[in-house]
Amino acid sequence: MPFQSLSFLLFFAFISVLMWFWKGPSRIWVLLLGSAGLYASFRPAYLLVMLALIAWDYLWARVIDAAEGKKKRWLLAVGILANLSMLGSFKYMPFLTAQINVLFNASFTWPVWVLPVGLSFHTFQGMAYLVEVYRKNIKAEQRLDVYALYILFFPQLMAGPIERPQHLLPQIRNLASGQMNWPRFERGMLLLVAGFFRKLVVADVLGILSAPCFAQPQNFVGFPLFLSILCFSIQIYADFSGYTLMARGAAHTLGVRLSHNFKYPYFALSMQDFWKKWHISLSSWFKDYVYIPLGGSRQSFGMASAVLVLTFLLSGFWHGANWNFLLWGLWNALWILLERYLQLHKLPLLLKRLYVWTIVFYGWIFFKVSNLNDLLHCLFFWFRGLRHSVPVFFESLYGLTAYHWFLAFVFSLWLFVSESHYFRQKFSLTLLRRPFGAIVLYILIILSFGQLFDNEQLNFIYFEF
Amino acid sequence: MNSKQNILGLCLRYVFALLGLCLWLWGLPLLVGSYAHYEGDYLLGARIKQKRLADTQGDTKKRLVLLGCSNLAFGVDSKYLEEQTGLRVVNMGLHQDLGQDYMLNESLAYLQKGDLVLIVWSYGSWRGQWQTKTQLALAYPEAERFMREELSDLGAYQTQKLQRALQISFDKLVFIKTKPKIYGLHAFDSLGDVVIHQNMSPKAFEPLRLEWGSEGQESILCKQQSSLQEFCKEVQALGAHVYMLAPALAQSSYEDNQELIEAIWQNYQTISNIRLCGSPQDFVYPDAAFFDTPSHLQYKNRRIHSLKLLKIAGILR
Repeated sequence: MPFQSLSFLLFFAFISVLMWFWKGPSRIWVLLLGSAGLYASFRPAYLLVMLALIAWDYLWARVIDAAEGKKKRWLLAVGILANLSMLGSFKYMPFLTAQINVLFNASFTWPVWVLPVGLSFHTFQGMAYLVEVYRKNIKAEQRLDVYALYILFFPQLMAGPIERPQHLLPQIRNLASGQMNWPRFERGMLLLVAGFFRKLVVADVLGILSAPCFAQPQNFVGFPLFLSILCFSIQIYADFSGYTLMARGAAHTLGVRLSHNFKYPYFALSMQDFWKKWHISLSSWFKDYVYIPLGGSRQSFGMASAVLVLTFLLSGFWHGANWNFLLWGLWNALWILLERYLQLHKLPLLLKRLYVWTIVFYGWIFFKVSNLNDLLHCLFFWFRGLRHSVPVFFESLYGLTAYHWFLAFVFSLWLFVSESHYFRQKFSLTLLRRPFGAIVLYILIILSFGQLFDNEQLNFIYFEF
Repeated sequence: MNSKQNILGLCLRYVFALLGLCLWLWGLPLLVGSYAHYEGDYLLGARIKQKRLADTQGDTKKRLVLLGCSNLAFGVDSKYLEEQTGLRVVNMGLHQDLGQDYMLNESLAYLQKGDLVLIVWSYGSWRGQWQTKTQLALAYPEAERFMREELSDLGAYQTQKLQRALQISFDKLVFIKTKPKIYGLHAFDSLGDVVIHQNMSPKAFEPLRLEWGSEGQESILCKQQSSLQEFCKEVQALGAHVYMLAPALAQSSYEDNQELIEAIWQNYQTISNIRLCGSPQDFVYPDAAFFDTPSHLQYKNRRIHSLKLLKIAGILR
């Protein structure tokens, strides 16, 4: 039941009506059962994996909370190791086994299981909880239903944001006494339809345009290749930020505020700045639980650089068990290190943005292309044959009409304008106060231009992680 | 009082918005759809085919009606068939994703006594694809009546209609001329054969990969059999004759899918009121004979295939 499907909308409407009229502490159970049902709709066995993870983290956090001294650190290590083992056995072992086999000419095998939806997000949320209990920033949760909902809460079930326990757990406890109200519901709906707009109109139209190139990159050079990379760069942002908006919107209607995951990242002025604005819940997770505990920037330049590279390599590896993700992590780390020498602050604003776009968009090639030959082709051939003129390209490429390109251009522009400082200052607050007109407009646009009927092929990119 | 007024106002706002959306959703397609046809749409070929089927109805000459998929559209030379048989030829082959039921029902209403009906199914053609059927209904609204079940999701169908109307309006507005292309209306001649590939070089194609899918072999074969049987019964009641032949297929694709093809062919053999002619092997050609898929013959090979169809069916003049 993907978010952009009709069945999800019906499910959401059903849960909303239930939550509207249901009073008392059992509201948590309504949401918990609904969320578990939604998760099981992907594959019932997934739910067992998730329940095992929940039970383990819930119990182990209480053990950690009760322990003292050095023992506590060991208990935390065991807890984290258990989470990583779960994630590793599904996501990383086939890759690692293949690498070991190549290195040692061995023939080990590891069963390839289908990755439970959002497992990378859930294990990270679970580990954050264990660490925060260990650090005594929170007490271990006493109620299993509250903790289970912290992991299973359906708006953030598939692809985050990776919530911190300090932020989400109190809100879940408050659900028991909370009540839905119309203004909040309308604001949530605005976020929800804005997310739908980003996914179905912007991301999916761009996805149609970029897909042929990434399916067979070797057939493309020059301008078509360049344009496909550009399309994918906007697509991935619209796709993931669209999902996050939907998640925040759905949660908002129910009375829960989820974290922001993006803060206009394509308006960043440096790569360091970009990573403070892109997938914030993951970046800050790595910062708080990997980078800073390893010493962060308060150590020698060599050590700080090594820790930074390691953090980005892990972040890349989090996205997928393949070399291209590691290269992507390395690419980002190297540019952040380089920025210490580049003196970007001396550049005019436009050049800073051009620099960020170039590095980030180029970096998406590593992210998107896993085959080494295709990767090399995309990295080095996009600037060959730039003589391909735009009209020829529009007419000949993919057999698509100019209409799709027109839609892609208009709505990408819309996305960027709506994120500009001027627009936000001028309209965002007004929209949130009086969301009705915007909701209707978004629905109109989605019905008119959204890719509503090819959802199987156009799932959320981050659902794969 | 105040709160009641608020609720009423709120409800009214949403009712008006809903009405506005419905107006947009139904109104625009109505406005645009009646005059605009997108010439880049291959499925518009259904118009040519239906017109020919209707035009030849009541003709003094007997008809040879070919029912099937794109392998017929690409692989048959209707004019040559007419010369060889002295019959009026109607080539209804269009697209396998329209599914068996649509293709049978579409013709049934126009069949008559004395017609020779040649069914040449692609092996993968059974249920068809919702998306393709909807696209056909949008390009050719008369087709709606042959697929009520598929279009029962009115909201989805209407939304598709709206999106198509917008696309057509855009093309008209910016004066985009649709250039003739393989999968467009210009591909067909007036007899319903694809002829656009006459001077085109063949393209590399993916081999055919047949699968039973989630519905399962037994269920598919059983339904396929009963719907064909039903069709034959009705056609024979009209006084027409039904023949069934295998489609043209590239050698490599045949070898890859031989087991499945044989199962399908054996299933056809159990249909009592159909005349099954030849075998799948009879219509297997070297890969080099094909144009852009393992079932679309090159222009120059259409006559060889057409003649073979006649010979094996035993209806040469």
